[in-house]
Amino acid sequence: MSMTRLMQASLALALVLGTARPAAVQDFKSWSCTKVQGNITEVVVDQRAAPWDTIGRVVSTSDGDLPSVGTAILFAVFPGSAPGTLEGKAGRWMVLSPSDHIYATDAVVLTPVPNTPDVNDVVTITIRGGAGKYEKATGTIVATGRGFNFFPAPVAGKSYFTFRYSGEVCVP
Amino acid sequence: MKRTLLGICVATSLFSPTLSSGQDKCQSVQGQAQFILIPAPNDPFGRIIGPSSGTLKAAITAIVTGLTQNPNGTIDATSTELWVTSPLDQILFNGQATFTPIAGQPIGTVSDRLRLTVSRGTGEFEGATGAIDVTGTGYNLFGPDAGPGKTYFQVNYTGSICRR
Repeated sequence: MSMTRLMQASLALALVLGTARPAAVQDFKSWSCTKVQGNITEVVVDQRAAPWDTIGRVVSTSDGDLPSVGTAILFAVFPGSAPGTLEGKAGRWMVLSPSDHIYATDAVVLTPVPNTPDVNDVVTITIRGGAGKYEKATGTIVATGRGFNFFPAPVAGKSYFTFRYSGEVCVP
Repeated sequence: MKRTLLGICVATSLFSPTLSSGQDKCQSVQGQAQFILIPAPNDPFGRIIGPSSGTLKAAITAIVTGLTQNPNGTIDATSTELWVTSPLDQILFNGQATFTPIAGQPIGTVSDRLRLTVSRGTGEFEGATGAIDVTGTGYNLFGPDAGPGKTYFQVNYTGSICRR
């Protein structure tokens, strides 16, 4: 290969790489982002309905801008970075219609409320896609609320959470 | 004659309250529901979630616990189904379903006949008994479009729930 052809090949390769790189990066400028807010109620479910969710599952309903029926499972719970708190990781599925779903992961911070069996609960919900119009959705929602009868251990029929949520959902 | 009448009166007074209170605790229920397939990383046969309206307004989740394909093309399934009507009130059912493919409809369209028998409850449903029959249509239960966001059931329910 002559020097000229080598340079041409290198230039072509550089052009291919150069043009390919921007396509691989998601362009969020054209996405539509919507502010959302409302309320979420989560209810600890009977373990017989979630025998393989060893740490626990809730069934949820939400109103406001994201009216849904949903569920979430705890993947892990561990001591929080602030003394006396607990932190957790969870998976969340929100069903807005048979075809439109939002899937997310949760970062949970639980702070015991003194002299009660309750906890204050802050959940940062990171949207990681879904189905239908939310298939490629992104965004973050923060849910702030209280868990009732969390101690000594969450029990179906006694333990539940109520939240106020606000955040942003972006779709292409 | 007096003794006979007295006996009837005693029997009536003894048995009537029991019968009437028992009848009062049973409630006919009916309404509609959607069962919608969602991703289920921990559940071997999948999970549905959905809302119900009518007498039992609930958030529902269910898991399939067993599946049998029959030679005639129908599918039998067993399930555990939880209807949450409030933060404190839950009804857990054992389900026995038969899915029958509907001829002339897109692949994966089935008629659904499901019997839900109360197995336990919490709150106002603690100690409850009864059963409900669920009938309806399932879409994309199998086939190329089967999966979350495509597979769901539109159903009606009717039955009786007796509280303790």
